[in-house]
Amino acid sequence: MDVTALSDKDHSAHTCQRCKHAGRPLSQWQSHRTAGSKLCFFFKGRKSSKRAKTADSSNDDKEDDVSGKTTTHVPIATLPLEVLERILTQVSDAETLLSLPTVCKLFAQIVNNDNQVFWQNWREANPSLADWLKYAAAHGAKRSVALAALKGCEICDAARVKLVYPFGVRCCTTCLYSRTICHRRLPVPLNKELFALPHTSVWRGNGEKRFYWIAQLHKYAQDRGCRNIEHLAQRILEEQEQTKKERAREAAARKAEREQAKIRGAARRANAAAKKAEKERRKAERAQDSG
Amino acid sequence: MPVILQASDGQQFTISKPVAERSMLLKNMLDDVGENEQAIPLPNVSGPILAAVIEYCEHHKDEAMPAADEDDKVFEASKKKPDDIDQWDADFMKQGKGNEELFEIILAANYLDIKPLLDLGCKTVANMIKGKTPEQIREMFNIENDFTPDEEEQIRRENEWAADA
Repeated sequence: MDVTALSDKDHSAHTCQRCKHAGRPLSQWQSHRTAGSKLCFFFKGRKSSKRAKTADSSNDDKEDDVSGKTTTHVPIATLPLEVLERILTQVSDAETLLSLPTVCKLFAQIVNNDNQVFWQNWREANPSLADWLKYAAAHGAKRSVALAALKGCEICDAARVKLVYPFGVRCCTTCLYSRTICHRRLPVPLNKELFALPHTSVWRGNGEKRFYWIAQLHKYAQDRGCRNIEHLAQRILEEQEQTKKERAREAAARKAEREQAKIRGAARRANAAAKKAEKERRKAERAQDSG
Repeated sequence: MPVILQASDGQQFTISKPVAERSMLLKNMLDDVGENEQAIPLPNVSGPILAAVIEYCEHHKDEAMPAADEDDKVFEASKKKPDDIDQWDADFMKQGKGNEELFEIILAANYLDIKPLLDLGCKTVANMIKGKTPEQIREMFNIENDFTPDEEEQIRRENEWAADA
């Protein structure tokens, strides 16, 4: 390894003759030589990478990058995991952040919905963007960021749409009304049942209108073991009837029990009265005998 | 009392105590050992990297130390956006530094426990990542794509709206 060393002021002259990398003081090459390597710092780095098949081929690539600012090829994966996590938490650009998991498995492991620590740190590092994670609990952190940070209707690709609905969809109003159903059009028994499902409310002159995502309603119905939402309504009606009957039966049973208790009480009272009368009679007899 | 640091390649640097105390590792060490004329060996940091770290610490020696408290940390984080880097710091990170030197500075900051420098390094790398496609990021940092096309597609789909899901 030949290294051209001129004056200390002229850093550009400290160029490795083999990999042509400029701008490093001579002492740096020397320090790596003394560490046991016969290659220069950058050349060593490239040789250790998986991609570099031969030293010469990687060297040829390097020669194209003589002018480069950050052209050295160093695996970022050599950094400790906590440092790498720290770097990725600083990526505030949502689009880049969401593309990170597709870079490699290590990145996917860090930028993962289950990595609560990463998202907590990301929230702290990007406080102005923390609101993007408000749907995270229901849809996962990554999807939550994608929902809020990106633009455009996810159904019809209409541009400049930023409205995100509680069902976890970013869509235009046309797509919203074509895929939702108002609670007033649903069978009455479902009203209470579905209230807990995600919905968006619109207040008109005649009161509140709740819109449910139709697909979510069907999924909910299927999870409850029904064919569709009408079937679920019918079942709920039947369940309500059944509950009413059961309640009536229980009330009747309680009433009968109360009647029985009344009868038992009366019998007990009659018994006690008879015993008392008997006692009185005996007392009177004893008084008569002694008299 | 000056502090002498010895890098992994044997190079020695004499710095003042306030500069040395920017590093929590050195600060704790100096608190424990007291004043000592012996050089402190830093086997994980090479001479040129240590020189760069010292240059950074010299420039920031008069600044307040970062807060150790959790609440303050959140407060500090809220004050600065990730891409907010002082001009001097930005220039310091740019000056003829390739990825490897940048990573070495980050590792040194991590080892010496200099939080502001570690943050600066991380922000610089994060800014390099910003706006790049996965392919460009792989190229820049020499990362091997260890996904099968199916796995990659599956991960990409996680962010997208699943029709009628």
